[in-house]
Amino acid sequence: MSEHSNISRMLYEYLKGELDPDDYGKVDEHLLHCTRCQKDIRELNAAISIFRPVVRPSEERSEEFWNTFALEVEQNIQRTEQHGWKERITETLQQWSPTRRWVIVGMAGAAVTLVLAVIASRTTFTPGVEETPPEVTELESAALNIDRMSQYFRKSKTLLVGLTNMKMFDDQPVDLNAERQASRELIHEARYLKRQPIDMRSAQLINDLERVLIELANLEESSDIPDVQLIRSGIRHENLLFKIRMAESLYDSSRFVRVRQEF
Amino acid sequence: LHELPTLQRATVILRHIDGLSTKQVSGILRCSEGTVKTHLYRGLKKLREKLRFIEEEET
Repeated sequence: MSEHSNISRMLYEYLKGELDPDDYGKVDEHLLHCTRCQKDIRELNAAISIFRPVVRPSEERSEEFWNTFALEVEQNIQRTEQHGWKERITETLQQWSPTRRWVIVGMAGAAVTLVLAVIASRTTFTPGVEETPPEVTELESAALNIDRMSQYFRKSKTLLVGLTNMKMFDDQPVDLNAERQASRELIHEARYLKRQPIDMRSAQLINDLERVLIELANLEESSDIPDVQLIRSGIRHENLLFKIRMAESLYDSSRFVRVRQEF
Repeated sequence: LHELPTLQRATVILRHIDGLSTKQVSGILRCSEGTVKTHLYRGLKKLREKLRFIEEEET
């Protein structure tokens, strides 16, 4: 390899200050007389400056912090899943102060009374009158959306975890037919969910997921390793799996405050 | 970025945007460190050419 080619490959690290100390002298000496490399280094500098550094909130804490945090959340979810709903409520109430306990219980009682009154007013019994099929109430609609959201996140997580753990072999293209089909279905579902009244955080997560799903759906049926690696990088870059886990726990816990018709 | 060839795009994203080392990128893309450096150099240069083309069109 020529000296010029060798120096060209060092220019990026030279600009970033990541070269070995001995190599700086070589590059400086070459740049003194090579106008092509002088031009290249200006171009590279301009290209590098296009990408402004983004400090992601997750980078303000160490990786160890986030690993421990995710593990604690996971353990918490498993712990609550092992207990019945009565034990969960009892445990939560015991952790609160007495004042807070009574305030929350009072508010819950008022909410239940209000819902009972609403249901009662809609289901007034009139003998001899044919009953018309009940319309889907706002509560039922919200409950359906919660279920669909929960399923959407669960399926997305399964797809992304499968892609992340997929085994790949050198020189062999990867068959992604099933993954492409699944991502198309999830994109379709995402478009439905975005039309429903949902919280901002879930809407943002759906948008972040959609970007990766669209990239996956647009891959060739049989793709090269770099394409798959790019998608994996996108998943890591957005911390998607962690965000999905957080969203799943939110939607699973929200089922316990949903009022059932049996009330 | 999407207009770059696959390997150059992957290298620019992994090395420059994600901040992985040359060694890490070579492990992910299963090529030599020299190849990573070459793709990075060419990818960034091509990016700069395309952006300059856009700037000239706008002025």
